Amino acid sequence: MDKTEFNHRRNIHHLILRAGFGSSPNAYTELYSKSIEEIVSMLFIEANKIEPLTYIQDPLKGKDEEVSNIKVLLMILKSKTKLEELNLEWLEKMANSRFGLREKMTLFWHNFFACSAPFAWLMQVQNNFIRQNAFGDFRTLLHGIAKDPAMIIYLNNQQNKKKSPNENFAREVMELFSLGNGNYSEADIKEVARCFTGWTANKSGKFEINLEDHDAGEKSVFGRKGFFTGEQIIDMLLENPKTAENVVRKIYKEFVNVQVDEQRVKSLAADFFHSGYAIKPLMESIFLSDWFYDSNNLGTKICDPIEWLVRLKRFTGFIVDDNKNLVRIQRKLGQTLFFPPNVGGWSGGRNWIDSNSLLMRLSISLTIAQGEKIVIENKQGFDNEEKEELGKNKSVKFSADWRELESFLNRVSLDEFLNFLFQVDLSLVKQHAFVKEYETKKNQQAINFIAKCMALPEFQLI
Amino acid sequence: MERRDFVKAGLMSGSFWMLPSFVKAGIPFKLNELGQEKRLLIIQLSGGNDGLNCLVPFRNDLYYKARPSIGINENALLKVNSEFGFNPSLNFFSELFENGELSVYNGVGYPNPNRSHFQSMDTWHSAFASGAKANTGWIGRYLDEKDKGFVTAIELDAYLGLAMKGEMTKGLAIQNLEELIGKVKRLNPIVDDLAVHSNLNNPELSYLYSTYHETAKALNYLQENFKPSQVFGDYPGNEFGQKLKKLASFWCAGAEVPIAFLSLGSFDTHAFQKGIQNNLLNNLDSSLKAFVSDLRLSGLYKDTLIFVFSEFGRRVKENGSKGTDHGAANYAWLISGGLKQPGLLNGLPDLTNLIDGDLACKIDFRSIYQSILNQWLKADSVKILGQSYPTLGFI
Repeated sequence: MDKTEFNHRRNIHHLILRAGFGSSPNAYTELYSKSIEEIVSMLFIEANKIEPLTYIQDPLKGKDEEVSNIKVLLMILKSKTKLEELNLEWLEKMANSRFGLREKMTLFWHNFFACSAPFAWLMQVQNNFIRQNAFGDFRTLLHGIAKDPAMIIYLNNQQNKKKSPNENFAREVMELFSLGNGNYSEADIKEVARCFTGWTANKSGKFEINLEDHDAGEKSVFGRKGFFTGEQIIDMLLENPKTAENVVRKIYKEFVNVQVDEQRVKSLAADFFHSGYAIKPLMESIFLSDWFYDSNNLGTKICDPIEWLVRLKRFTGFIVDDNKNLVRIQRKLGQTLFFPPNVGGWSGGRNWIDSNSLLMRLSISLTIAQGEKIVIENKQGFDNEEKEELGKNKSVKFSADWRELESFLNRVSLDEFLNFLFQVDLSLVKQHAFVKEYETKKNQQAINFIAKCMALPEFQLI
Repeated sequence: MERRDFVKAGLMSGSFWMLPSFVKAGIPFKLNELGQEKRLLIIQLSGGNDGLNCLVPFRNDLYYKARPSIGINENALLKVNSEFGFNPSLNFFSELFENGELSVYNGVGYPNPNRSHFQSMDTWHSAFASGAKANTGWIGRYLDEKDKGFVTAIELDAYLGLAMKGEMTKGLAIQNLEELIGKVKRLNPIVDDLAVHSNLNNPELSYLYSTYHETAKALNYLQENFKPSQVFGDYPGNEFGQKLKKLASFWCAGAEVPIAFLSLGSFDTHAFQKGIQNNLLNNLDSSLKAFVSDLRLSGLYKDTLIFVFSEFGRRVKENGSKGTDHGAANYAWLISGGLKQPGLLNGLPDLTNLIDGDLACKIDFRSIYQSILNQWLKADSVKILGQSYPTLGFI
């Protein structure tokens, strides 16, 4: 393989890993003959199809809304335990998609609008809302999330009343969802909170404005006076280009590099702002740019636990004895879908890595290859609900299918195989003794060699 | 920019992610300066321990009025004087108090208290303002500040808490030492032969390699310094007791791991509090009794500080299910053979002036951190906490 072809493939891997969840060797084969432009368009064609999560049944379906409010409330409450099932449905959706660009973008928004209300139905509604609008316009997303029952509950807007305002939502909507820190004052927070008083989720789990609790008086926000409503505040936030910049900076960190090129972010943000916050053209322009494929953007992202888990699944098609164990693994690695640590979301990058999570990530391929079990300790919880599980370790048994990787390794040159597996400079990988040994003697079993490659820190970088 | 300003700017902007290596390299490394001879054990009572039923102001009618079913009868208490007494499960605590080896502050908390377990725990761990979105903790930033490796601080848990995470340096979480060592043994021949890892031009890869090597080194060190024969205390057979026993086995064997973090739970006693809390307190009390006896034997006690906290206290008034709901300010407990000021240092809780039914905050918990950092660990608390707080005199 000549240098140009080698780099072309490397760029394709980069695109598929960042815009999706990586691919198995066979699925890559038909892509190698295509240009980046063609593949980007394939990604978006797949992303046009929107498949919502469906695990939780609509508790209102076939019921008389007036009569059954209390019943419905109880049902929504009961669905708390279903969050894990919802988690698994989403994970499967990611793993089974061809490229998974829409799911990747939904995951981004799940982290951007980080929320963990203990009502599975409401979280499903929210997740489907952000999936539906993942490539639409940010204006719709922001307006929708402000009226999203799960978010309202999570950020205490239920308690935000004219008589006793709660500032939680007002603060986060400006700090995290729009302007970013430093672009508003504490006084603005107080006044913005007043504008959202009475925005609540009713007993049927639907948004409504409770006029009795709403403060309809005059407010002073960002130096402007008026009888502002919540909607008007959202519009004011969107009128400020800082909002575009904050969104684009987070997108850049997730999809391009945690080390932000401020010039580039400013220029992307200007286009994003002038397009009326259109998300799809923004993402297209990133994936089609030359700089996206710069060497300092390749192999420099410590992959998210979810990316890691889905990639592993795509490589080996592994299954576990009890699906709930897939949730436990996420918890062990520090990223559980529907359970972000706080409204700031997962911090990402080096924050994923501590001694435990690193040893787990590095050793798992070896454990799977040897057919051994993985021990997952239960986290010491605050709630008595979790207590029953306390101290009980779970053994997770994996069944994996290595045949595709094996036959790929046997079919192609070592360089081609390593180029498929690693995004970092291959000269580094080839310094490892077991790789050198394999290159000269080819005396190791294919599965063992592949598992060892996946045990390298280099494999954690995409 | 001076290092101090640099760190401070980072604290303010919440992004001191990348301390350039020249900043780190500039710090001289001297063992004594790092306060290695002092040890610190932090015990977290997860779920919100009801302090008011640990040290009871039995002369105060308001206490019994607020707690008709879960209030502890005067006769059952381990009385210290005519004003207050310890929960009957806290025998050893009461003994420590008599001996001048326990300092207690009441009303320890923070402004704008949050009653969510997770958010309040984040506040205690990070030592940032309530509601801040932190990804580092106070011990982690101490490690950053001292440029110390993993082996300085361990958490006896499968998961590393926020308190132990710094930007550059993190504590080491150990649940099962043998299992982790097994992983490293298996990985070493694969990973460890890349000698150039420190000079990689990919900083993320360097970070992964250095984390791996620090972990392997720390585990190796702990394994060498783990001698179960060194401890004699009568530890309860449960998880918490056995974890303390393991810590004593490290410390008494001479392991230089001066900071340890341990959790006990769950204290989230919304219903039928009495039995649940008494069992937990009993466990805490008897485990610490065994631990302190080992520290005494090995001569470490006067240089060891044990700090016991919870993410919040509980509502003064009991609820309808013979339990209590999430509260705010609470007692903080400090145990050592080397206290400067033992006793109940700022009086009993004020049950008259409650805020939303909860005890008011009189002492910011960061004042305690500040004393521990400055007086005990000889660190610069302003660099770690971002500002200074009123001084306390317990050590």
